[in-house]
Amino acid sequence: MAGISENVLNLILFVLLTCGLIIVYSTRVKKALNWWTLQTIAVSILILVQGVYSGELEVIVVGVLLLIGKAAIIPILLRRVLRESKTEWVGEIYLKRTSSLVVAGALTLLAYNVTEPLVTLSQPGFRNGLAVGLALIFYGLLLMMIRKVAIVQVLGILLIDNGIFLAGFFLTQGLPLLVEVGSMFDILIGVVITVILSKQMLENYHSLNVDHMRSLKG
Amino acid sequence: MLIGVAIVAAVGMLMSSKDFYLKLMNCVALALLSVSGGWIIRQTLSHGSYASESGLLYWDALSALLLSVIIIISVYVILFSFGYMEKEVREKKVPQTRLRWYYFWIWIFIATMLLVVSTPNLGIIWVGIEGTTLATTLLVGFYRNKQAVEAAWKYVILCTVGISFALLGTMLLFAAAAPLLGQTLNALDWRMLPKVASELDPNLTRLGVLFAVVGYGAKVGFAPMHAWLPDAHSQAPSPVSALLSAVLLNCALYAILRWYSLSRLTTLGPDFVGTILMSFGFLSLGLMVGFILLQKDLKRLLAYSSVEHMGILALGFGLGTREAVWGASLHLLFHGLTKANLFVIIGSLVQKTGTREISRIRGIFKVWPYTGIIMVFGLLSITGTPPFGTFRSEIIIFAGLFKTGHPVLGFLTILFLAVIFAGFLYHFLQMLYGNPSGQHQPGESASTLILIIPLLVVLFLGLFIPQSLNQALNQVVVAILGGV
Repeated sequence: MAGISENVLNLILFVLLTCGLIIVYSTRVKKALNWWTLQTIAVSILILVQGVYSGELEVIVVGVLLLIGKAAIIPILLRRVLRESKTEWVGEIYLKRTSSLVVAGALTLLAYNVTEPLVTLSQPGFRNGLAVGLALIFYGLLLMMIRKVAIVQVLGILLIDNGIFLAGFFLTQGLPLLVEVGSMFDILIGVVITVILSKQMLENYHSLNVDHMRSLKG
Repeated sequence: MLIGVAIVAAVGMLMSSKDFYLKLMNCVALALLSVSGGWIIRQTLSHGSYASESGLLYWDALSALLLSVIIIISVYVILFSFGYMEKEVREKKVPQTRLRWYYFWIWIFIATMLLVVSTPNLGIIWVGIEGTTLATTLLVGFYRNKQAVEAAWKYVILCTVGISFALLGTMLLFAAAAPLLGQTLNALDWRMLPKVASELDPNLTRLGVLFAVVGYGAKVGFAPMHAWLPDAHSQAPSPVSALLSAVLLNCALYAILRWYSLSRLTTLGPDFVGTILMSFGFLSLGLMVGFILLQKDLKRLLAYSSVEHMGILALGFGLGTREAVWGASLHLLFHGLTKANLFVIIGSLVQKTGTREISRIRGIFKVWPYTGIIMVFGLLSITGTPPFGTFRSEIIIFAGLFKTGHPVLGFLTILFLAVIFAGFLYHFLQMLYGNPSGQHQPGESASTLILIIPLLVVLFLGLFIPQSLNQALNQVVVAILGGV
């Protein structure tokens, strides 16, 4: 990657991976949300720095949109739902916080393993980036499986989204602007819709616990 | 133009909840949509393809097929919605003021589907498909009761995760194509990609195609990723179920087909995605047998039948011979028409009886003879009974299976279909005959019979395929398989 020095790149990747791990480890939804916000800010900084170095306006625009759309608006929306529902606990099922951290560690190794054959394709510096992106996708899936509070599942999707975004960035320096903006718009609308749905969930069930929703079968 | 109509219509719906206003707006929008859509379809079929001036929109025969399905069924379903929603309001299931949101989301939904079939870009197709999920989530949860919220939540979470894999797949393909076509929209354009298909990096392409097919497959509702589908279809208002089942699933399948026809040209070879599609298809068909036989809920029965038919389509397209793809394209049209009709008629039945449980609906012929007649037609058509068109299209696909050396697969498929036929017959006969329960209020006007029109089309096309349709389908085959 032209521009960013290896050290800065590694530092940002370290921040991203750590944030991902802490989200899995959190027992308070609000904390997990804060760490996700920090992670998204780190992603947008990565993209902004790259954009400034390479002087590509498209990349800078994507970075700014990311900062405003995802790092600012989404946390505000989600925090409001949390306050209304008085939800604090993430709802651990199947795995407690420590064991989920162990699983997440194993998934990180898996991510490095899976990206191995693809590494030869891109420049050496990308390897870590791609692997971290994939690791974040795995964390997101894990989070959706082992937590039962609706908002944490949304966080899982957002984590997957960050991972995909990162992987895409390291594979190709991002998709064409039109597609990038379109997908970001989709995610934003998606969060608005899940917020509306969780409000309806609150009216019907008086909690955001998705375990209550088991009536549809067969 | 086309998509513009739908978006303007959507915003227009929000202005007022007055019945007269909404009906007028809908009719105007539907007329505009049919005229402009019809014009595009004609242009496309007579010239082979048609592009908008900016080049951002592009249609070929396959897009035209999907476009016609979207338009025909939208018109049918929205016109049915008028009466259906009016009744829901009268029965106080939905407040009058929320009607405008209903039409708003329906039109946004239509707009996103039009976007999917009108763009030549695999990236924008992704944006459109994710858009359809978001547009329909609140429609699925429209009744805002416990089950509706549960269905909507499952729907949005499962589909979004599925689709995000398709985004990853799109990115991998872009990574493979960008060195050859540049970092622009061109590198995801299905008009440009075939030219460089054989030079794409095989590792990236294989992974990308896999992610995309599985990701969109979740949205098509292939087993074992179909969990969201019966919930969403049974909880949504019936006109929405009709749109979901008859159009949306096809749009997601369309996205897979674009990847399919591209991957046939790459180093992966023509059978790579074909085999995946056939496995999904066979699995969907096989697993649905049990669900259909043991079903107690009428709308879920239809939803599982949709999964089954998507399986048949996947078998036909995945087989990849000219006849099979021809048959599958025809079946796509027939299934859309039949399923829209069934959801509409069953929807009005559920509204009249106030229950979705099959065991509580009896003696339809005695109480509502017209509804009964339409249901018999629908039953015969959905199970692929001759002389309905679905028989013709299914038999072509199965003949393809036997011809290409899959006799066991062909035999099992036909066996499954026979059992499904028996299951449908059992459920429907129970409802049609017997003694009606006291709660069924008799009385319906002969105008109900208008709803039968799509089935008559399927029946007619089963007996006779006009030359123009045959040519159009041949163009679709060329669009998917390439070459002459």
